[in-house]
Amino acid sequence: MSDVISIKGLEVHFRGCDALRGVDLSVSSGKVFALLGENGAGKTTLIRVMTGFLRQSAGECTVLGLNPAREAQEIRRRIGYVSDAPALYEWMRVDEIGWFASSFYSDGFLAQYRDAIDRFEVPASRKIRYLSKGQRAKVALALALAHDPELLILDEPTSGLDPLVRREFLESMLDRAATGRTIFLSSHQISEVERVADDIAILHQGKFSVIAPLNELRDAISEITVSMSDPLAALPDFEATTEVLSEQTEGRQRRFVVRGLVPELAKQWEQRPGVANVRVRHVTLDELFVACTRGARSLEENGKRKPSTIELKKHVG
Amino acid sequence: MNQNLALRRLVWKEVRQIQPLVVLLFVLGLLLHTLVLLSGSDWRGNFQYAQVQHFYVFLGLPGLFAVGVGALLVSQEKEQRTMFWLASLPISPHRIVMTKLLISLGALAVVWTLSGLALSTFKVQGESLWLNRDFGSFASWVMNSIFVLLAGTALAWKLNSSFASLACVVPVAVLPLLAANVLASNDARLPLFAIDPSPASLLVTQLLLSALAIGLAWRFGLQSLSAARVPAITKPARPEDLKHANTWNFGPLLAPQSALVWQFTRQSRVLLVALLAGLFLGTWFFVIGKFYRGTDLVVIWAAILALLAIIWLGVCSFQGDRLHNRIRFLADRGVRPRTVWWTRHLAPLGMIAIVGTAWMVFSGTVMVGSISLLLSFDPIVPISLICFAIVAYCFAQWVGQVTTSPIVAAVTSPIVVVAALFYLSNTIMLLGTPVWLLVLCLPIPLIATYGAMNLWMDGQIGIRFWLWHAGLLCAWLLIPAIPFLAVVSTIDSMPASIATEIATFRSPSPSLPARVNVDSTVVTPPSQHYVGLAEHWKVLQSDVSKYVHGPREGLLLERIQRLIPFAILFRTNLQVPEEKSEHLQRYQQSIELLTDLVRRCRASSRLLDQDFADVVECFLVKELLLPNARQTLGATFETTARQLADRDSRAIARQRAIAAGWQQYQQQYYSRRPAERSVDSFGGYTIGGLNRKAGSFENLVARQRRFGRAVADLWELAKLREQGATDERLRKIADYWGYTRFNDTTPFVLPTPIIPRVPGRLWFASWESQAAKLVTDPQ
Repeated sequence: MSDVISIKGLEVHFRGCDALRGVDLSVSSGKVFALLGENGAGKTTLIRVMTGFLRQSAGECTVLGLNPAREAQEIRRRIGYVSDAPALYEWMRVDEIGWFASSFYSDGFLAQYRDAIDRFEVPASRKIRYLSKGQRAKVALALALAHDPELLILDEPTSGLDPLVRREFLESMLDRAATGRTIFLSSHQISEVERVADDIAILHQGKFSVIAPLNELRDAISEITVSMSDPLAALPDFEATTEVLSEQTEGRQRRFVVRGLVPELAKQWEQRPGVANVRVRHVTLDELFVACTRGARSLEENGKRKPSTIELKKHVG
Repeated sequence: MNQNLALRRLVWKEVRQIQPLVVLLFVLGLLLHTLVLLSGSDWRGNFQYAQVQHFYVFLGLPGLFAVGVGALLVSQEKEQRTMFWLASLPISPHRIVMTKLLISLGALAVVWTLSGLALSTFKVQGESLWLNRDFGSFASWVMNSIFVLLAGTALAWKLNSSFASLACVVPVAVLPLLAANVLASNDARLPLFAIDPSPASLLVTQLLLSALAIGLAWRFGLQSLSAARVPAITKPARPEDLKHANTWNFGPLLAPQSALVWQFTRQSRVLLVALLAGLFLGTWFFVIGKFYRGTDLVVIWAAILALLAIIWLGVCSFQGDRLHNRIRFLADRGVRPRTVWWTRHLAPLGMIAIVGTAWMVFSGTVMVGSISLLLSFDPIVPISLICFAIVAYCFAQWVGQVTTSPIVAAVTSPIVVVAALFYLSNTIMLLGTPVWLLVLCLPIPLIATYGAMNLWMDGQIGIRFWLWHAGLLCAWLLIPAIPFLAVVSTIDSMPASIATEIATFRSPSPSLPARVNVDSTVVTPPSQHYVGLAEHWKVLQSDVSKYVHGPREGLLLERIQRLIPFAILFRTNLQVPEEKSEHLQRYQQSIELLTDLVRRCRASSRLLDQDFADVVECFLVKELLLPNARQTLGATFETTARQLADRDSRAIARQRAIAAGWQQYQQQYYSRRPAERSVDSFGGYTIGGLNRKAGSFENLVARQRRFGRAVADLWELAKLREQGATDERLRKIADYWGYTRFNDTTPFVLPTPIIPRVPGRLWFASWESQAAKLVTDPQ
């Protein structure tokens, strides 16, 4: 499959802040790619580079085979983009704005937009300024979908949507992906992303700490909870092949989120003096996200080895 | 809640909000006053030509403040949604509205005061600009600014867009004048604004309308801050009620360009209508001013309204899309920046073109006497107006793109346009910039916004954006100055070292000829018919002696032209044996008189006198070189020969004359305003009559620089003390002054001596070396 998005060594530096510190990414067509990250991780910066609204300090980026720095308009014509704060003409009606936008796309835009508006149950005759926040988001989505773009880039698309519409939207994302369309989605709603995403990337402080297919992530990441009878007892180090993503101590319990856990380790630890119980389970995406962000931060603060980027495959997808 | 504290905090907030506008106007006012000062100065620290334009700046700044403050305190808060938050605080809406009104009125008073204080520092020919002012009109301007402020505030409460509320102030500002016209008019046939109402009636209408405006501002303010009213509907809504009859019924889809034009005009329709009204009012006032010449006030209003309307049309081409950054709608969808650019300009330029064309058609059909109104104007008037309109629009749209706040754009754009017009007019008057070069610069503001469109639409207002605009602004400023800079950089001028030498030159006081007893009873007879040669000689002798030893009255040339032929005559008559002794005496006297005349000329600080002295000395050398001259003249020969051989004194006298002439030239030059610096005399010579090189345009600086170089060459030549064989300076001097040098005494082959028309023509010619030999070589 060809790469719809290809990013190599991308860096973006602002004065006093390194927004992106060398990210690599490849997204194949027909996938739902979810970009997760805490506030200020660099998600919107990455999207702005991809859509040509920002120039990178270093590295390469291509979207649909085009260079965003030079061919931004062409990219934006071919993709559907919904920013985190979409700009809409407040004085236009819902139908009017669709009619206006249809002038810039090929035939069929208005009909598709109308279908989307009807599906989202937004009153077509109402002015944008009188819509609720969620309704504005629906209008922005409808505008982005109406010309059936091959790539859809969504920055916090479901923010402000009620749960029902959020579910419907997510299901439509799946349908779109099934037809070969690619979706690049940035979101905080991890539970929803878990349901639709094929591939996941977690951005932490300008670098990817995780980038892998979701199902493989689930298998590869484990949480070990060690209950200590003797809190002062030392635990042996993990195997060299095991990578610690986060480490937490709460009273007599120590919790590790690790990648590449050797199955026999749990049994070995249970037999050590001072260890009462060892429990192993697979983590949820939520827990992985916390481990990659807060956990990585605490590891760095404690001077422990920084986790490297987890890439279960060279090219995702 | 502490009510007093709450009120103080509210006042503090309003003052802080208004502060940037006051500071901005202060800075722009300084800029304008500086520009006016520069145009009235001699550019050497003398600002004695303060001009009445300072008074217009004084009037204009508070007016601009009055226009912008309502939009700043009300519309901007509504746009930024802080008004909603303010209304949610436990402050009564009455207090909010009252505080905004009082603070804005107070700030207006401060701006008037500061502007007035600034004006008090300027004087025209020693008199304050406050003198001889019509204080009735002044009071009317103040009152009108109050009305404009109140009306602007009412509009800001009523309308949603800050820029629309600003634009609506333009036509509303003339309401007091309209009302006064209507009240004062007793002739229904007179058109609107034809009457110049009395200051009292204007003041009354301004007061009444201000009271109305304050009432409206109060009412609209309270409505805006109160709960929104909903229609009294008692039945629940049905799904079919939500459908609009015209939903989805748009007809054929528009092409992108048409869609963008539709979007821009729909979005800005209130703004465009208001500015269109302003344009029409401006042109109407202009026509009224032409028919009813007594109405100077109307003509001023015409200029203000029309210019303001054109400027704000330019600003709205980009500011219309600034609100809530809605230009990103188009940027997100990859709409071509160049298409967006020209569709933004289409409507405003179209409006200006329509109004201009309508005015031309109208004035072409209305007759003034036997010719149409259009033809009654000097052709330069409509051409100038068109040029002003183009420059105003171009610069205003530039300001509209680079400024983020619509209020700042609206307030600064008129000042920026005035500064641009001022600069352009001064490049023509002072720098001699050809008009075609200025025409070349006209599109630069449009190129600036066109080139930055991509960055502007994407919101990338960073270094690239600012460097692009700064670079083009520098180009716009420098291109008209290119001819001037070319002159300054390529035309040689007086080197600083020589200028210092000339300025610090000091010479010993020249010695005047010893006083000779002159027979004061001799009176020049009125008639030219003399009884005899002796009497004629006596009269001439007395006259020349008086000239040499007394006040210099009359023409030196005339005396030389009379004295030299007498000397020649007396010498010739030495051949007549009967009168030889008399003629010998007279010959000796004539040579002595000529020698004294030379000394008198050498003592003069006028360069022309030095060259006259050269002419006479040239003759004297020729006389002394004649055979037996020594025996003939006796002691006179020795005295005269010694003087002729004194090259040092001659050179010092020339240098002194050059220094004095240059100092006088500089004083005259810099005592005049830059546009009037045309000094045509130097050391008694008329520069204008000389065959000097002129540039491709009459540029005073070019002339000044070339002349400075020519004087420097003269100075260096004078320092030489003797002539070099192939001195480059001589060639340059001859080229500049346009003459051929004489190398010997052959001019005196002619019956009359050569009249010096150019300086230095006889300097260091061979006669000087011959004169030196008179002393060293007695043979």
